[in-house]
Amino acid sequence: MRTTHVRRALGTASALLLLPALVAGSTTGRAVAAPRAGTAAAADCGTATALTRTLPNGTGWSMCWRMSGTKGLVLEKIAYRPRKEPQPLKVLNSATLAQVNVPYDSGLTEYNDLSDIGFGNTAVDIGPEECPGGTISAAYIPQQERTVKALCATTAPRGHAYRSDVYDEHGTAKKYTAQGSDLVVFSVSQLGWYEYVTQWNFSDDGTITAKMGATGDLSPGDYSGEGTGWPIGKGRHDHATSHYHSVFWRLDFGLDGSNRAKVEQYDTKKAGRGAGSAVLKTTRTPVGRELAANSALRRWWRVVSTAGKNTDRHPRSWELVRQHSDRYDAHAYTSKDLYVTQYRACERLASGNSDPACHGRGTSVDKWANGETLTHPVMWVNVGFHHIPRDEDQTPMPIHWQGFQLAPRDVTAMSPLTPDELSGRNGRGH
Amino acid sequence: MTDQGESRSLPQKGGLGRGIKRALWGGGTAVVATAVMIGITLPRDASGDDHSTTGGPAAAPGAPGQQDAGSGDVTENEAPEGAHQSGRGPLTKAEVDRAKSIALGRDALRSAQDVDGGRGPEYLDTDLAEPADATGARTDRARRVEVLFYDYGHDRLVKKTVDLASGTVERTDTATGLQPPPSADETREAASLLIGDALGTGLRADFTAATKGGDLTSPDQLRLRGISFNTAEQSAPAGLAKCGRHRCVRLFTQVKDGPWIDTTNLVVDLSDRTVGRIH
Repeated sequence: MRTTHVRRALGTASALLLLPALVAGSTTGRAVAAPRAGTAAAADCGTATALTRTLPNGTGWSMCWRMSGTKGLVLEKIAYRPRKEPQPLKVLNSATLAQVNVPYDSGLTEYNDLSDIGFGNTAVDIGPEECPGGTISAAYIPQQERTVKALCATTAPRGHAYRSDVYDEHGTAKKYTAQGSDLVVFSVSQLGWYEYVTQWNFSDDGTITAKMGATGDLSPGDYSGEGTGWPIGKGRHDHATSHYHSVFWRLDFGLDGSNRAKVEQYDTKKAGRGAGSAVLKTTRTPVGRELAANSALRRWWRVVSTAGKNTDRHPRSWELVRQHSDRYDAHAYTSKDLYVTQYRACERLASGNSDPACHGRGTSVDKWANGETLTHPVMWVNVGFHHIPRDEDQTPMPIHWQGFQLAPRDVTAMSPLTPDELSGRNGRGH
Repeated sequence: MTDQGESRSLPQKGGLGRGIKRALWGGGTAVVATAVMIGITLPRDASGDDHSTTGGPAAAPGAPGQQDAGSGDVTENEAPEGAHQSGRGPLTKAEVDRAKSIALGRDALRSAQDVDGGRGPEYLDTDLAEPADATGARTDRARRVEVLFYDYGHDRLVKKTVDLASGTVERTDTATGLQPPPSADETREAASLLIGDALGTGLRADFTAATKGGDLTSPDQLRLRGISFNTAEQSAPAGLAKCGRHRCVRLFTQVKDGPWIDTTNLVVDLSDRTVGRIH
């Protein structure tokens, strides 16, 4: 049995995580036991060891981690250190999952995987074959009353970081290219037949990718009919029930060490035709009060630092990059793609929030986003995936991912990966 | 499976369980899962330790790991231990034990009842508190811990925020209608009630089939995962309307070293010790 498991785990993990190029002998690619507080590189996690890594291209990431019974993997004090930056730049006070809501199209059942079961409560051991070249860290999980090898941190290649043929004054081409990599951090939770991978990729260009992978098995008991399921197996008899995974993340920003970030919404609209093409005009809308919003064509949001600027004197910011999402319109709280709320310590889960200290405020994020002035914004990102099963989803189900990214916008004057020879080409006129 | 028995058993027999799914959908007799299903759904052994490369807290570089994975060495960090921690890292067992003890100190919550009706509250979970943020400055060196209890005597959730450094309870918050994940004890109690209930007929029958004649008499024969059920958060029939004000639990149920038995349609009300069903 165990062997079966191991092979399966390897199969699902390998496509994303194997990194043959970085495994052997790469000292920079390895996790290191972090220096203690006070050094430039490592987050101050107190007596706990910070999760700190410098990627091969010179970008450093550092953070504290722990496991919560309900939320599962909790990352705190996340800091980004671009190459050449003397100090790490603080980005997030904390980043966690905030709900996984799984209703079935048949109308017969629904699960709230964080609030009713818990991702830490169901965290399982990660084996070395799932974490090649990486570091597996254990934590005591109170509800399980045992220690679980709960966290993998490793490095994975991400292909081209950039490529450019640059010509000098003699017309001679020089090719600049580099391969990029990510610090990959994940935990695994088993909820019944489903297995979830809670993963964060921290790229060497500063991009943060949050993603949730679902694998394991389709519900073995949920079969439905035409319109609410999809026939799997021979013929058209057994319709595995379609269902939703609405995943929420909660992001508590602490940009450049301050909670007082600003939030902005940008929309780009057609504004007539120019001589050679259509004119598109981008406008900025400050988000001064709590927000419940949906995506729209060419709409995006960013969180802007009030405490730090790059060397071009542009305020540092992080842009929310959404990917495809189908919001679930049968619950109020899943009907919006994004919420921004004023920070409250007791507001932790996007629904089924069960902190008595928040009693009387309602139990879901749609109730909290009620127009309060934002001085310490917390972002709640909802990504919905409507899963209509297919033949290929049978055992073990190929992992399906959903998530979003945070991309640095003006955090540094140029990319931290820009080669030294080109670093003078900042702005117009070169 | 009888009309009363709502548990649906999982696929059996080769052929990827198609026969079973048909049986389930058709409401036919309960059949039990196959070796194939068992092979893929068995839990990892909680105590399983299939690799021996455990480094100390400072990690052991170059630990062998499993070389047949073909991907280089894996380092392992042990869980932090001891009662004296600071900052933002995993809670230790010693801290959790100490937090519970402080939360229950001086006969606190003596009037509360646990899931068996015994004296004192039902312990649910412990988590590190958010850093104090009263002035906007996040002071996160001190370890403040939240200990959650459920008081069955009053059907309410109780949170004690404990300062581990001073050994004191900083504040107590209570609320009704909030239902965090069930504890292992509550999960076991829910299974016990289900096994003894008329609505457990199907579960017992499926267990007998799965074990080739065994009788299901104890939760110990099952591998269980509890799911809290709150009608304020999801749809439910009128018969389960109390769930939310009451503490209710569904179960993922698996025969130990055997197949799943689907009991997710059944809801055990731990507050009034009854069993209902969703459909």
